[in-house]
Formats: sequence, structure tokens, C-alpha cells
Amino acid sequence: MSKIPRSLASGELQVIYHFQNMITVRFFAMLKGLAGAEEKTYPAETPITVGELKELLKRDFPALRPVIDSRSVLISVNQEFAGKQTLIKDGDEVGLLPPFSGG
Amino acid sequence: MDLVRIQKDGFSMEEEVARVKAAGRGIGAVVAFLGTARDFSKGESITGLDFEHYPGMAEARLRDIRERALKNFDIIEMSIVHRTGRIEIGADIVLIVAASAHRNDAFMACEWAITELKRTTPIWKRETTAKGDVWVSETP
Repeated sequence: MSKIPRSLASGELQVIYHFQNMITVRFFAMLKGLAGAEEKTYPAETPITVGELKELLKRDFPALRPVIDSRSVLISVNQEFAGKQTLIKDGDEVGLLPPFSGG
Repeated sequence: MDLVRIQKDGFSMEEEVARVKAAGRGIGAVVAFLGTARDFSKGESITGLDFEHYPGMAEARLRDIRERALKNFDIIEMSIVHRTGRIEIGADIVLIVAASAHRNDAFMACEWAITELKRTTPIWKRETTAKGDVWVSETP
């Protein structure tokens, strides 16, 4: 939660509170069908690693367990490829990417 | 128009080649790879394809492929266009155009770029078969 001084015009400090504290996980291609959702948000008071997020996803989406465990699914954080130890913070966008088949 | 694009609409091979050739008068060779929708996959009959991509990330990966090709091969210009959404059998899917002074550099860069696209770009293909729509899980 961050405080941003907005205006001193009236002589008193007005403060806007931001209650974002969320990370968004996006599912693509066949993972959308397996998860039964396009995305899922998690609270993120403190940063978590990609490995920890995978455990949350396996808990909440049992159908995704085999593909997450098979390691054929890649993870992106803010649209960059991420490793198991990559930290995910408030406001980050995580992508769950099944094997690519473009071209 | 951008030399790297992901778009729903079809593209003109002739226009893309002209766009790449405009990069310089030192170009003596242009190699193009055109990927098209075939009517079979792993012994199954296919009646159509659908492509989904990760907007933003897929374009960034393609721009990165072009930049690395320009850096690592002796080429003058490269363009990469990939279509998304529904694609009928026989229609174009992807076009990579590489231009160089001499043919070998353009051949090598073009081959490397399509292999790298398949390996690193978040784009997914769904095939329409008699049994229904099937996501292709791995690039052959």
C-alpha cells in the first residue's frame, strides 16, 4: 500500500491509498481450457518466487498439476521468460505458457 | 509499416519483399520462407487452423529475433510477419524475408529465424479435425 500526496490546494493533505497488491496469472492456449479460466489474481503483500506460485496454482487448479510438474510449461514475468527463483511482486503479470507451436 | 508484425489479415509476399529490398542497393539476394496451412497432421485430416499469441510478448520475441539475426548474420534487412486467428487450409501463416549481399547469408539467417520463432515465440496452433479442435502441444 502506498500513499501518494495528491493535492495541497485546499490547505490540507489529501491522500490516495492504492490497494493493488495483486499479481495476475494469465493462462494461454490449452491451459485456458484446463484451468477453466483465462486468468487468476493472487494477493501479493510480499513477493513470492515462481516456484511458490506454481504450488499455489497446483493447489487451486488440480487439472494443471501434470503439466506444471512435467516442466513443459514455461513461465513469464512481465512478458520476460522467468526461472524458478524469479521474484514476483505486486502488480506483476505472470504468463503460463504451454509448448509453442507457431510458424 | 513495421517490418515485424503479428496480424489477423493476410499479407502480400511481393509487398514484404519490396519493403525489405528498400533497405539498400547493396542487396543481391533475398530469401523468403513462407509457412502455409497444410491439410494433415500426424496422420489426421485437418480442415482449418487457429492461432493464438501472447499480445506484447510475442511481438517482442519476434523483434528480438530480427535484431539478433541482423547482429549475428551478414544480412542487410529482415522482416517477420505472423498471422493470428482463423487460417484456412492452403492460406499463408508466416513469412520471413532475409536480404543480403550474397545468397548464403540470407539462406542461413532465414533458416535460423524460423527455427528460433518456433522455439521462443509464444504463439499456439489449434487444429480443426473430424474429432474436434485440438491444441498442438509441441512443435515437430
